[in-house]
This record gives sequence, structure tokens and C-alpha cells, in this order.
Amino acid sequence: VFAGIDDAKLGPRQAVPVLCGWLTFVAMWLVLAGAPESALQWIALVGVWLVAAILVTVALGGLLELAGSRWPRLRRRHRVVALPALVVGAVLGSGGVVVGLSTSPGEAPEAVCDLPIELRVLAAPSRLAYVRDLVDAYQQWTADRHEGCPTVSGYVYAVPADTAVSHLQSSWEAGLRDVGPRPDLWLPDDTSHVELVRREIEGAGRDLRDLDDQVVAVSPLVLAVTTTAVANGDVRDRDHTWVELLDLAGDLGWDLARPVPAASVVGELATTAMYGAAGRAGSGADVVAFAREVESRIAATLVRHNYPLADTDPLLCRHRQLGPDATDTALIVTEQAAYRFARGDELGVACPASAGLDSGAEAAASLPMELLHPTDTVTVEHPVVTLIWADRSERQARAASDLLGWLSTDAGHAALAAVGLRPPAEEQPPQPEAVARAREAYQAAQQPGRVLLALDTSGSMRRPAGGEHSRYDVALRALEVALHLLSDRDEFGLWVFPERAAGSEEGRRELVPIGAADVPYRGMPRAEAALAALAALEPDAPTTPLHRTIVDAVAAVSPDPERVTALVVLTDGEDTERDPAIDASLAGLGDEGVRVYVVAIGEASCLTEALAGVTSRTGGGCVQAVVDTLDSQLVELFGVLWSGGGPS
Amino acid sequence: LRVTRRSLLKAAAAAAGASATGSSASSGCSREQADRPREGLVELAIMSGVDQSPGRQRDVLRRRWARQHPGAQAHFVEIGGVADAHRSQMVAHAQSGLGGVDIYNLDVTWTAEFAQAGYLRPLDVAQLDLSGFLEQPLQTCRYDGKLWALPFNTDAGLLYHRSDLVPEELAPTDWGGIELWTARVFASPDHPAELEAGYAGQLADYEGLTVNSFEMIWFEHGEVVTGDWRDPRIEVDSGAVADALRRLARVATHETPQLILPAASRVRRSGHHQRLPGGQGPVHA
Repeated sequence: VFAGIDDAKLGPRQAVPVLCGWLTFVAMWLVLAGAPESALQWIALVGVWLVAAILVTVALGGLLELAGSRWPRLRRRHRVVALPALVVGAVLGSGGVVVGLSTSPGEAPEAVCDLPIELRVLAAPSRLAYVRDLVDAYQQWTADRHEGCPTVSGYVYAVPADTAVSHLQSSWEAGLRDVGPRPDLWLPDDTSHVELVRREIEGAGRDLRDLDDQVVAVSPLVLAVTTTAVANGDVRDRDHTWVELLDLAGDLGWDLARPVPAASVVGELATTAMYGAAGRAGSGADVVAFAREVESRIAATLVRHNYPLADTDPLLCRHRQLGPDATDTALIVTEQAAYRFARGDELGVACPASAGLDSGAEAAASLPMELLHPTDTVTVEHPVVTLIWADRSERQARAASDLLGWLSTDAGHAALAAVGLRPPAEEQPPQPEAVARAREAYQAAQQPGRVLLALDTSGSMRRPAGGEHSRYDVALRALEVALHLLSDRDEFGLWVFPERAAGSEEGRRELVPIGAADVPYRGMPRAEAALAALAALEPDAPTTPLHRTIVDAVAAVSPDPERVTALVVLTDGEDTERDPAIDASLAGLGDEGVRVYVVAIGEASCLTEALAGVTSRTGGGCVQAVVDTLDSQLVELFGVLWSGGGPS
Repeated sequence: LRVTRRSLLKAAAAAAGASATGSSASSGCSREQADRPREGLVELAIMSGVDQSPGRQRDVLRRRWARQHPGAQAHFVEIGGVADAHRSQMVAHAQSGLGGVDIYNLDVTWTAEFAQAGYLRPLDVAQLDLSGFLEQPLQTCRYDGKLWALPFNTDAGLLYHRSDLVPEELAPTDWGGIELWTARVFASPDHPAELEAGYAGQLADYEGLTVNSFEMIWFEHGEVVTGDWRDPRIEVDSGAVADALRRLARVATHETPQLILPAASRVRRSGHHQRLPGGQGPVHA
């Protein structure tokens, strides 16, 4: 190196500025251009490296020459040992500098993690919260094993069961637009739903080729009682069957609450467990008598504390709101639900886990629970269904399969335990025949309904409902479907509001008085009479006296302990009267024994405090309905109010 | 109701070319028979969230583009649900390797990860006229020194107020103003009986809460991400950001009576599912 430079006319002094300039130029270019992406850039990088090595060698060599001239003894040693070491050191050192220069500033930071494989997980609404927790736990588990980078990312979402089933039956053709992502995994809350889809797709050559379902967890049904109540009675130290436990609960004066079977798979299985126990203990007639006695007790509790006729979470939410007032209520729920309640988890939007003040945990602490496990209880299964699409990729299939495999490992079991679930058990769930028998007994024992329907006939109901039909047309069609659920035992009446006949635009008009469904009105079956009267109406009133109608209607429905008594209001607007006296009356409703339900469409909103308050206090509900699916939402609602069997 | 303030909530939604294969819609995506391309036509598939704008403005744009390009057509492959649902389906589709989608209509926060993952192809800036775009939305389309997308539609948050309660010239433009006017209106003995709160925002657990949180943080002069972009620092548990979040928590838990509509923590933007009740607050977001 030295000789080459010395022999040429270009000595170190001339070469250094030229090479430094070139080095700076190339280094700047590399800095601006980012990491070498082409062969040319790589050649340039290596070139700069070599030049830098030469320059450093020249400079250090010059220093050694200088040292050699001062201390002659060093000269020989430097030529034999120091020079090769110097060259190697210079090459490596300058290389590091150049590479460092070209990769540190000015370039996008290296992505820490690759984008994980995306898994779309569809869950039943009642299972959404814990499925999210499980998927999060799995993501974290994969991240812990891959330097903090998760290998899978799960998007968990929920749609009602009938929506999920119908879209899966049609291979998600309209599901992408109407619902959302096409799911890779599905966690229904009812194993029979899997069969409904499988039957439809079998041999149909659709995109959804097959379903692979496996139970990953279970949760037994329990009787959850406050610690105070258990302390009052001698129930802890003995094993009990369902029949014995229910007898004991009666003796101790406990109230009994259970999710409504028409709206809850857990409610239906709980009913199967209780009635099945009674069936083993006696004859078929005994089961019906037992069912009547149990249902009567449950109905009394639900009315006394205004528990909603709904699935587990709304029931527990109300229980949490009642606090010390519900100390003597024994809840028939799953072990997992009781666990989530005790932990202060979210129980729907009305019962957040924590609203800044840890309200869920505080509320739970005020109602410590004791779980009683009947010896003959049944378990609620938690299946995971792998959806085998014709075009799913190998990586996505493997990701889904890995998640399922993980659930059966120790880590997976720990994650299940953290959400209150147990690994699959040996016990079999109730056979479908047992569920069907219990359903029959329940329908025979179920209280009939007494329902007053109040329909908004203000002018806004003439507005189009998305197609050529008006909101009023859609409402009538939906009511026609819902009225088919009436059984002869139910009672029904119909109001419209506002009233215009007498020249007043306030108040309401009775079209069909409350009466038994099997008693004709004006020569027609009651439901037909109601539909005919509505068909003859033309909505045109400019006002919506909504609050006044609710107050008047609640007063007009006589509560009956032997019936499910309710007011259902279907409206598309807000109250236009804004009368403080009426609003105060509305705010005072709650103990009349009449559940108030509001079906809000169009501009009507369940978010108003007045509607949210009165429906919640009375144990009713506010349904923010969509006109496209109004019929199914009404069917769902009337299914729990009338004894005709509900949606099936 | 009058518009008094515009704040950039979602800076932009951007569409980016992502696949070279472009003439067949993916499985599971419905398409009308009439939309099928004629022989020789180029047809682009645009994967996008469902267009909820009045009059389906994205489709208006698509039709206008098709009129200007007689040899080409485009159709939307729409995804229902919330923004997270759209992202999940788009990522899963890109990872499936199925092709069939030419353009992803991405939220601005996804452009970089899609580009980094190799799901997008960079655009050739030399062949584009970028002069008509707003600079900030356009900036969200750049990553790693390249342009990966172009702004498709840009949304802005609006603050409405009741002009019968708050004079236009004094309308609030920030949180301080909202608090001030809420107190002032409710202090008035003849305020309308139907008033429930001063402010109705979108505080449900979704991107609306994120946006409202940032508005509160910026009002407190805080920044979640500070430092050089090559060495970002994220700080939420102290200083102005923490103050802002505490303030938001107080608002959301109704510690300050009447400032916020109690139902706001359940409100999402998504149109027909949950609506803001009208006429109950002096200002709305």
C-alpha cells in the first residue's frame, strides 16, 4: 500500500482531500438513500469501506513512520508485526464506521416484529368478553416465545346467533358486507348451532367446506348465593342434588333467579338440569308440578326485584345494581358467570367493569358469593369450531390449529382458569331429548303474558325505511310476525299514539282493549283485529307524546302475579311534549309490576336517560332496532313475554 | 345548529395499490352480475369498509372515475363492522395470498404496517400530480421515503352547538369553553328543561374514544409521542397527558355533573345502531 502511494506522484497529502471528498459524497448518498437495496449500492458501500481502510492505514502508517524515525529500534518491529495488524484493524474499523453511517440515521427503523398471522374469531355475544381475554393470552404467550413478537393476532367480534348461523349457512356470501370479517374460528354458545350449519353446507359444494368442532372448556351450573345467606343456613357441609338444594332454598326463604330459557342457552340448560333431577325423582306429572312450583318462585323473584327477562349478563348486572337489597337471591348460573361477577368484570354496557372508580370490583365486594355445586348438575360446553374454507391458506389453517392445540396445554388451561372455565370434563352434557322434554315442561309451566303494545303513528313513521316501504309498513309486517307467537293463554291489547280523533294531538287511542288472545274482538281473532285496525290508519300526527303514553299505559296495565306483565312501545321519535310533570311521573315508574320495553327505530334513541332509566328500572329493556331486522328483533322480544314458545 | 370548529379527527383515509392481480373478486365477496367486466376491460377491485356517507360518496367518486376511463371499471368489495374489523379482513386477505384485490382503502394508521409487511407496492411519484391533496393527509401516505397511498377521503370532526343557547360569536372552541358554557347555561334559571348535559361526544370503547382522548390531551398541551421519530418516547402516566386523561376520566364518570351526557360512554359513530339523542345538550361533537 505504502509503495503504491509512494511510487505514484499522488502522495498521501494529495490523496487525502480527494478521497475524503469522495467518501463524504458517497456516505451522504447512502445516508439519504437508506439501506443498500441494489447491487450498485452494495458495490458503492464496499468501495467506500475499502477507501476508508486505505486512508486510515495511510494515516496510521504515517504515524508509525514518524515514531520509527524518532525511535529507530521500533522500525523493524513495525514492519514485521505492526503493519499487518494495522491494515486489518483499519479495514474492520472503517468498515464498522461506514456501515454504521449508512444504516443508522435517515432510514426507517427496522420493524421489530413481522405482522402476525391474522385470525378472525367470531363469538356468541354472551362469550365475547372472555374469548377476547383468551385470545389475548394466546397472543402474549406466542410473543413471550418469539422475542416479544406475537405470531398471531386475533380479531374477536360477536353477532347474534341467528345472524351467525344464517351467514355461515350461505358461506358468508353477504356476511362480509352485512356483518364483517369472514371468520376462521367460531365460538357459538349452543352446540346445536354447529349442526344447523353443517346440515346446510354438507355436499353443497360451497366455499365453506366443513366444520371441525371440539369442546375446549366447560363450566358447571351452580347455585350462587351470597355468603351472608349461606351463613344463615346449614348448606355448606353437605352434598345436595338440584331437587334437594331447591327445597332447601325454599325452606331458607331464598329468592330464586335464572336467565330466561327463551333468551338464554344457560337458562335452558339450567331448566334441563333442574327438571331432569325432578324427573329422576318422580313421574312425568311430578315434573310438571315441580316445574310449575319452580317457575312460580322464579317469576316472583324476577318481578320483585325487576330482574330483566334476559340472558346471564343482564341478570347479574341487575343483581350487582341491587347490591345489599338482593342478599337473599340465589342465582342459577354457570360457575364461570359467578366467577366473573365476583371478580367485578363487565356485565354489558350498563355494568362496566371499571368506570374510573373500579365500580365493578367494589360492587362485587359488597356481594361476596358462595357457589353450591349440586351433585347432579350439568356442564355448559364451550366449543370452538374451525371453519374450513375452500381457499384458506396453509398458514392461516396452521395458526387456527395452533391456537386450539394451545388450549389443551398447561398454559392454555391456565388461561381458561383465568377466565373462570375448566378444561373439558368426562361428564356428558344433557342429551337433546332431555333438553326437549324440559322445554315442553317449561312451556306448560311458564307464566302467560299480558302485554299492551303502543305504536307510534306520528307522521315521521311515513318516512321510507330504506326501500319503497315506510317505517310504518315495516313495523306492521314485523308485528304480524310477532303476533304469531301469541298463545291462547296470553293477553294482548293495542294502543296508538298520538290521538287525533277528538281534535287533540295529545294522548293515545285504544284500538284493541287488553284481553285474552283467544277471545275475539269485533268478530275477529284479537291479533287479526289489531292488524286490521292498524292497516286502516294513516300516520300523520306532527307530535310524539311518548312519555305521556308510557305513563298512561303503565297505569292501564293491571299487574298480575300470575302473568308476565309488560308494555311494549314502538317509536321512531323523541318525546315532543317535554312536560316536566309528565317527565317526573316517568322518572318515578319502577314498582308498578309492569315491565316497560321500548323498541326504538329511526330517530328514537335508547341513549336518552328517560328511556334508558324507565326500561332499566322496570326490568324491561330498550331495543335500538334496525328496520331491516325489525321482525326478528320483535320476535326475540315477544318470545320472552308470551308463552307461545318464543323464537326457535 | 352551526358549525363553529373543525378539528382534524381522522386525518385521512387512503387507498393504495396492493396487488397486481385485479380482475376477480375474492371468494366471499358478492358482486352483481351486471358489474362483471366486459371482454377487454380492466377491472379494479377496491377492498373497503362499507361506505356510510350520505349518498355513498365513495361510489360517486368511483363512477366518476369510470366515466373518465372508458377502458376500465372498478367495484368495491365492502366489509361491514367497525374499523378494526376492516383491518382484520384486509390483513387476513393479504396474508391469504388469494389476490383478487387491487386497492385497499386503509385508515391512515395502517399504511405503514401494510407497506412494511409487503402488502402494498410503492407509487411512482414522478407519474403523479400531487398538487391537489391536503399536505397532512398526503403525509400519512408516505413511509420509509416512499409514497404508498393517496388520500381517498378525508374526514373532519365537527363541533355543533345550539345557537339558541350559545351565541355564535362566543361559541366554545375547546374544552375550557365547553366547561364554561355548560356551567353558564345550567346556572341560568330558565335553561330548557330537556337539557341533560353540556357535551355529547363519542366515548364508547372504540376509535372515537381515542380521538376524544387526543383532543383532551392537546387541550392540555400534551403529546403522547415525543422525541425524534427514530427514537420515539411514549409517555402517558405523567405530565400534561396524565392530566388530560384524568380530566377525561372525570368527565366520563360524570364527576363533573352535567358536563357530559351520561350516555356518551356508550355512543359510537356508527349511524343507525346508536344515535345521539338530539336537543339535549348545548354542544355536540
